Amino acid sequence: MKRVFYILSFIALFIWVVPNYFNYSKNRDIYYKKLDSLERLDKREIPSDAKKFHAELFKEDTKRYFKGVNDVNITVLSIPNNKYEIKIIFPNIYLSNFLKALYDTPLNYRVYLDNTIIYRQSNKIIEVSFIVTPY
Amino acid sequence: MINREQYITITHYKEREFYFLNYAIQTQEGFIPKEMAQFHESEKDRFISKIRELQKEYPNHHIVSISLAYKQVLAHTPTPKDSSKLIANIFKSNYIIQDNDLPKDIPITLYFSPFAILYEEYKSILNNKLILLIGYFDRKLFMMFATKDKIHECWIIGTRGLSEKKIAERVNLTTKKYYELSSNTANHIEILVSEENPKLLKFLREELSVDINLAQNSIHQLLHHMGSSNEIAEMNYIKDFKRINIEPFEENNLNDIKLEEESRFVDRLKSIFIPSREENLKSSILASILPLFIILVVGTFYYLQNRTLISKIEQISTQISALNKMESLVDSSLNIFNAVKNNGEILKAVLSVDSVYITGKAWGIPKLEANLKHLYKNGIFTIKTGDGFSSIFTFSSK
Repeated sequence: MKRVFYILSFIALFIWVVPNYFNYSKNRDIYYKKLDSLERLDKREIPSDAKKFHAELFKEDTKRYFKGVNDVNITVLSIPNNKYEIKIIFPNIYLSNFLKALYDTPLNYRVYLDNTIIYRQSNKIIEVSFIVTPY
Repeated sequence: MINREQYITITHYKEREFYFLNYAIQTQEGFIPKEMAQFHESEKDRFISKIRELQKEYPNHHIVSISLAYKQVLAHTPTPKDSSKLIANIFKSNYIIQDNDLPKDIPITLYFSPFAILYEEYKSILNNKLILLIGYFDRKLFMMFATKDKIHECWIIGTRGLSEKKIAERVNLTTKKYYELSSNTANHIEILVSEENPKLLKFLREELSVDINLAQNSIHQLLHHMGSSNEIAEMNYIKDFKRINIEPFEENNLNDIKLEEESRFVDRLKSIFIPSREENLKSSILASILPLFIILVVGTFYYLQNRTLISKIEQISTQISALNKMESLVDSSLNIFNAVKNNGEILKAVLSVDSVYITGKAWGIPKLEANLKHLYKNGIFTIKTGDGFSSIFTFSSK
């Protein structure tokens, strides 16, 4: 009986525990490398973990990138397939503010951008629309 | 003192398919429990002969048992004698009545209702305020509302097959019904259990939201106490029981019992430090299971950690890829707006990672075309006349 337990212990050790440990240690290295890459890409002043996407929170956060600018209009529309269509209207002199907000979006929220960004410009006002998908 | 003079109580009861047997030597200072035995119902004959043996050995005895019948009701007046019924006078004019279920083949000389045991256990704490007393024996709840002058109501709730939450709900429902009828409420509950059930206590506390005290005692101990004096024994179902006579204990005999107890205690102590062969075998099997157990714990730890890491890696990879794509689009947007600046004005631009389409007004056409073609070498630049004197350009690249 005792021998059976010892044999089972050895089998479990070599077939299950050791491979699990090696996988764990390999994945740990991968994780830290990825984390390092992400940190290098993160140019925010105060880095934080990406949050779950929330329309109202997104509007509030994006407005902070246009501090002191009154003519900014942000709409977030929920569309089929768990996607959100985002429209941002702002004076064209604040293009760099918008681009900073756009760059930081995947850092602030767990979303990725669908393929295209559409810019429309009229009377020095830019309207940008794009679609994001939370993951 | 010889065995003939010693008063003993032999206690037994049946729970599920087992008979439980115990006996105790009763002294004026209290009782001293002796050996305990358990018999399967298929060993009923052995169980009865063990009782007979004890009866022979100790002629001054009582055989005490508990009625776990489901139907035991409270009456406030003595009912006429009926051989088919058992009647126990618990307190003043409080009687418990049940069908006569005394076994013919198993000797019993004192037979108690759980309500009598409950009352005896808690009578000293009763006062003018209504108290709910609950006894939990053999998966049944024996419930009793009492004050110091009266037992108000008694009823039994079966719990077999019910979850602890359901039991607590039933207790709450029945007590509420009583409160409605009597327009009196109890804000204190005492529970006496023969086996521990912390889950039930937890649900009762949640459901009833009143002060609940718990006491635990074995049925044998409770029955030995019930058979310890004539005054208490009066509460049993058998009216014409033999009067209890506890001889004063001589110091020597008490010492004998103490010595016997001590020697058993020493034996038990020895058995802790010098394990038997069987214990040795058990402990060696346990020792051989231990490495397997540790290996399983360590393996599970790494397995779970690994799963968490994989999910984190997937998330971080998605985030990096989203960020790279975003960086490329942000750069394209900035470059295009800078290329058009001073030489025209973008009316519409559709940008993706691998293609671009721009339309807008142009006034510095050669410079604009050069700037855009510098960014996208394979791009197609076209120009046409717009309204008035303006020129409209389009630029596309794939």
